[in-house]
Amino acid sequence: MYRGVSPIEIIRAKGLGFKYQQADTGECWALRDISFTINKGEFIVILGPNGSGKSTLAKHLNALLLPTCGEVWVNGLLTSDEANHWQIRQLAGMVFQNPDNQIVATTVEEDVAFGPENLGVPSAEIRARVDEALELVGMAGYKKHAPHLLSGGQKQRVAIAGVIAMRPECLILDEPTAMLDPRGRIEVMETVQRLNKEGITVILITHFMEEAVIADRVMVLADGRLAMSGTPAEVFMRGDELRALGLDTPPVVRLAQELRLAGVELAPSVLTVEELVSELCR
Amino acid sequence: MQIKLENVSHTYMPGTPFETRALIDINLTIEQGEYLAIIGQTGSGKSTLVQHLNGLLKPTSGRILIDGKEVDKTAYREIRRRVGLIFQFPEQQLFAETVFEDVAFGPKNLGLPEAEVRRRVENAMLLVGLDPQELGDRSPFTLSGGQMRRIAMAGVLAMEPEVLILDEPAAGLDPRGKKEILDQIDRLHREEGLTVVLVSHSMEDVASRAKHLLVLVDGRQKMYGTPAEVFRDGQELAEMGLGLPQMCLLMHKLRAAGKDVPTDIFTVEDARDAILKMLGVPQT
Repeated sequence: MYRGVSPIEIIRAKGLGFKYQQADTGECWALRDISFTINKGEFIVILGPNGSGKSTLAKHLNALLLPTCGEVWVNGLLTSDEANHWQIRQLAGMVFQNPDNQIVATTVEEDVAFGPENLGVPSAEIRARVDEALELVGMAGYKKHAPHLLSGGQKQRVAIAGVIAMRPECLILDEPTAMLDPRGRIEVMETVQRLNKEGITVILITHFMEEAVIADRVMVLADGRLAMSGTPAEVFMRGDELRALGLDTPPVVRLAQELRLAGVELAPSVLTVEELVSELCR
Repeated sequence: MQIKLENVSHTYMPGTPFETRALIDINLTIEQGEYLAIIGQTGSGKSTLVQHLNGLLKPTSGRILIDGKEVDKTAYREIRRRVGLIFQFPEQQLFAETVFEDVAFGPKNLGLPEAEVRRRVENAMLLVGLDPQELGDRSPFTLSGGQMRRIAMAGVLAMEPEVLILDEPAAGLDPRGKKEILDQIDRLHREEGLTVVLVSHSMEDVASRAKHLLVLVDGRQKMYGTPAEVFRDGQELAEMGLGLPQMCLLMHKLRAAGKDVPTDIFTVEDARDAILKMLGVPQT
């Protein structure tokens, strides 16, 4: 039994491994020996090529999957103890890639109310939570709208509101912008950043390298293992290793590296266009 | 083949409360050997437009000319053979028991002899970088997502089209998978001489590859030109919520800060050279 939770820790994985059966090739380890801790209020980005185990890992963080070996704790609760599952899923809410698969109701406010209703929250309180959640994601003007007629970015924000109405500590997003257009991506990313500033821990899985730049910490998965972990600057400094894994750095980081090779002096922390412009205009 | 759209408009469900004007007065010529990227937000009319190019949709008003001849009812079958359309997430359309059967479905329906079907399937698989000997007898559903997508592409290429239309071919792939598929499309354009029409959300992906860009906003043709022409005015694209490729944005910001740099820059290598020149660093 794990005890003595430090006041700021929210998720801990220790020696996490996950194995599943595949039809033609037999058993396969999707996750191997993964250990990390995530603290309350952190903004974590998980990167990794297709098939590296990112989604499998995310599903372990709210007990949708249980470890084959090792342990995962959410707020000090062990995920492999079934008695903890309700509480864990209320603490760690999940948003998936396809917004269309996450809609359950015919109006936006009913959709957002679905989670708290299932928690048995009294109806006056549900009203307050739904209003607050829609306010937080910038969708307060759409309460009576039919969710299936909204844009992709709006649908994802409704899905996020549905999770927020559960009052979670932690928001896990599995490629929430993969199917969105540029405007939808900006809407969702701004919403996620705002919620993080409100104190919610964010764990974001993405293929878009430029979305990782705003993280407190980046974790890189490759072939089911935790291959790298560090600040965005630390991880993106290892561009060649990232490319060998099938990932990349944002173009501006690659450019900064090329300029350094050509003898231009730049601060090591250049991650965005704005930072490079101000370095070059010093 | 040349495809020409003259004042093409399309309205869904006309005369009903759900009437939607999806395309409004589009004029566009796609020449043989073109590489056109169509860019716009969701709902801007991109998919409606490309479905006109192979006769899946007919204009509500305006007309479509193929090699100067107006398309009529009798021509649709012919057009669908010459213009191949690959939908978004095409791997969801795989259905056969083996990869070979899946790719062979189109050519078989054309009534081609067996030897010709085999030649086309093998050729199409090689074109997308898959080994017909190794994978032909496998079930498509046991392969990786990237491989499945390429099999779906091979199924369209086996029809030996002259024009290839792809709707978001790189969606959902990791950076390597994305680069592989876009490089493959470049190769089909360059080496096989295919005319390519690519629908994308991503300025980053198309800026350095396409010859021409068409920007759609609310069903209207908002901008058309070479990447250099379209990205000259960053402000206008930003207002449309489309943004610039990162390298192009960097150049615009350097210019705004008073530096003398060109703005038609889309690759890291070109940006490096432009900045070194700006700084007066000698280049090797």
